[in-house]
Amino acid sequence: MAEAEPRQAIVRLTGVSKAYGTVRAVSGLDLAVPEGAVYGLLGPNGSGKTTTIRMIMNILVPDAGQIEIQNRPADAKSKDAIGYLPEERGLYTKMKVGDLLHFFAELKGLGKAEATRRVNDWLERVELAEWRDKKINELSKGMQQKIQFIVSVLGDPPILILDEPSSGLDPVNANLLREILLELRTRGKTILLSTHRMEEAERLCDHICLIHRGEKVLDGELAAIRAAAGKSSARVDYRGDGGVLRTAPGVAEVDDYGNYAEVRLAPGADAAVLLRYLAGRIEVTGFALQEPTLNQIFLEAVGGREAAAPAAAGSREGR
Amino acid sequence: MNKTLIVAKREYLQRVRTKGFVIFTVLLPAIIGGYIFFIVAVVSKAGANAKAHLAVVDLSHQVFPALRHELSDKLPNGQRQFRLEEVAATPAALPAVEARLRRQVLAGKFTGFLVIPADVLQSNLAQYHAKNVANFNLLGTMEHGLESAVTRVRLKNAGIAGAQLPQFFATFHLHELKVTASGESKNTGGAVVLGYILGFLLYFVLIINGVTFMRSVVEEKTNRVAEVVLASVDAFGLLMGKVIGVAGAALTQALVWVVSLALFAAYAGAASLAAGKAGWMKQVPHLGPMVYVSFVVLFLLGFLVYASLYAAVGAIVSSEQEAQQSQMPITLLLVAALLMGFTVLTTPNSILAVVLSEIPFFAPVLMMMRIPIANPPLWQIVLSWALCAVAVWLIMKVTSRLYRVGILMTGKRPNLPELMRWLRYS
Repeated sequence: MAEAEPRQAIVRLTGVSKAYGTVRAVSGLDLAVPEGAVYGLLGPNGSGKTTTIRMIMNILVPDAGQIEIQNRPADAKSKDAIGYLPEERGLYTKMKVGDLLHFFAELKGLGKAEATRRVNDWLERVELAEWRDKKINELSKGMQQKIQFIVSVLGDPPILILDEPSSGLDPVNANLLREILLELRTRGKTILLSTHRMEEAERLCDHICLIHRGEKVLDGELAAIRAAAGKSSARVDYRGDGGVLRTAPGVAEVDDYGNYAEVRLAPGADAAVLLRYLAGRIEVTGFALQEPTLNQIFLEAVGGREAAAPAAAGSREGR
Repeated sequence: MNKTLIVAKREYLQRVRTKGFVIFTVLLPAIIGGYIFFIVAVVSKAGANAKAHLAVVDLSHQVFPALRHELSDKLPNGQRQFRLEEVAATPAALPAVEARLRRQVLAGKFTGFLVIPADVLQSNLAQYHAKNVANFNLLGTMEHGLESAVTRVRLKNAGIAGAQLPQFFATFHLHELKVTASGESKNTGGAVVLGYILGFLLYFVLIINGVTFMRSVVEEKTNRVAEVVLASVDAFGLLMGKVIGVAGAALTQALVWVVSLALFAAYAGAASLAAGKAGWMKQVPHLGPMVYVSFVVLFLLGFLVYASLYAAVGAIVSSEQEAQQSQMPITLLLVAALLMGFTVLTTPNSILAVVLSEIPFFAPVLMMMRIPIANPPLWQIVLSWALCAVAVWLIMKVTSRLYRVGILMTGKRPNLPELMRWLRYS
């Protein structure tokens, strides 16, 4: 696969494995996160994303393999370089927002004045400034989510690790999060995020790594991965019975969503032939050739493996 | 600042600010203080009222003068406690006289009346008739007075009188001297109590703070804050910080209690000095500085040992209900220490006592008992401190390993083989 040697890797995993009893959560995983990248760790639920992240955070210890952060073996000290948003959120619910953020700021080694300044700036930024003296349990779920995010960026760390960052956010706040992330990237931060939502990764990430059942399926720059797959896919917007798509000439695979379908063309097939064939049978309201979506790439990559079915189920869940 | 200390500071402040903590810390001494004020007030009032106007029927015709002499004590306000009035009677007229006196007692003329039989020197018996025969203080004084009066009469009958008499009534004292390496010193009998005070103080403070502490460990796991904190601190630092924070809160509480109790004791001491009843104050021992230092050190170490056990349980269980059930064995360990105290008290220098007092779970109570009564060599004291500290460190090491796995596990309580596997995971 696309194994273009990237910029200096700031987080590097070599042959990392982890098992819980007899269940292998991660096996032989190699990973290189280039400095300054937005790196997406993708995979269906239960594929080993969170376990991988917890090992990078030194919360779990791998059974085998090495983890390096900033070219040093990961240990308790390397946590100082990382801001972490865990998948399962949690805060001290009985503390006041300001006190809580100051506590985490102190843990990240900030002085009092600097902590106050950053806490105020961030609360301002996420529009929660007037909540500083309220207790956490008085906040709504979405607000707590934003506080949790502030905790991870408060120390202004060079590396940000976010486990499913947008889950539980409404579209407005998801947008706010994306803005902040892009802003952090332009400031040279490295962002490693995990998600099971392929379209989210497509929008945000410049590098991705697809994992499935604890093993890497493919990784590299998103643009390179998609270019390698070629424009072998078509989106067909239609009205009528989509069943004809499956029997149309040159079609290898169909993802039918009712109003439109993503059609994977067989090697060497001519899109024009397909369009002419369909035009006589259903009402085609739109037809566009495109690079395959991440979802298709993922399904294809996993397709060869016996475990394709649960993977597909997992990846659609996010739609 | 060290990360462990930052965690400790948060834990301490969060704990000290809760309503429950403030109420317990302030209210308990306030209640005890109020109780002491009440007792002192009642006692001094009761003392002023404990006057008795007695009719005495002395059929022996020789005890009454001696009795008047014996019951000549004065109250703090300078009045005599007893006013005695002799009522003449013959054995034959006694029933009639008694009937008349009963009426007078009911009418309130007399507090009560004494009937001293003719053969009192042989029988050692007398009768007291009154409306209230449950005033033990009064009865005790009267009985003691009668006993002395009868003895006085016997001595006089044997020809002993005048200046010779007082030496027969001299109070006897037994002086206890403790043999120590640095020579003999006065006994510090009351110091034994210190071990128990420390034990009970520890017990109370653990009852109040232990379970809520364990609950906070469990809560941090179940509401997933732990993972956020673990992104900045390692599990050992987090748990150690929590334990130190809660121990600081416990020490604060204990100090408030001990200082306020000392103030109340000083007040009660002053009050009883004024009332001329300061006998119990002689029981207050004079203790060396080592005893006080040990008290604070052993309290703190003892709390740390037990708090780390609570943390260990908190790291294993996954719900608060389970935590409640699991705290029982820990407090039992402390109760066991208090029970073993009896053995240690009787033979404080036996090998058994020495060994028991070095075991971290028992040292706070048992070593504290041995220090004032057995004068253990310094190395034994310091060793017990060191062992406590090592125990805390070891327990926390194991606990933090369990915790790392425990935060990510929910559901059923692990059994022993699973716990061993947890230890290997991390």
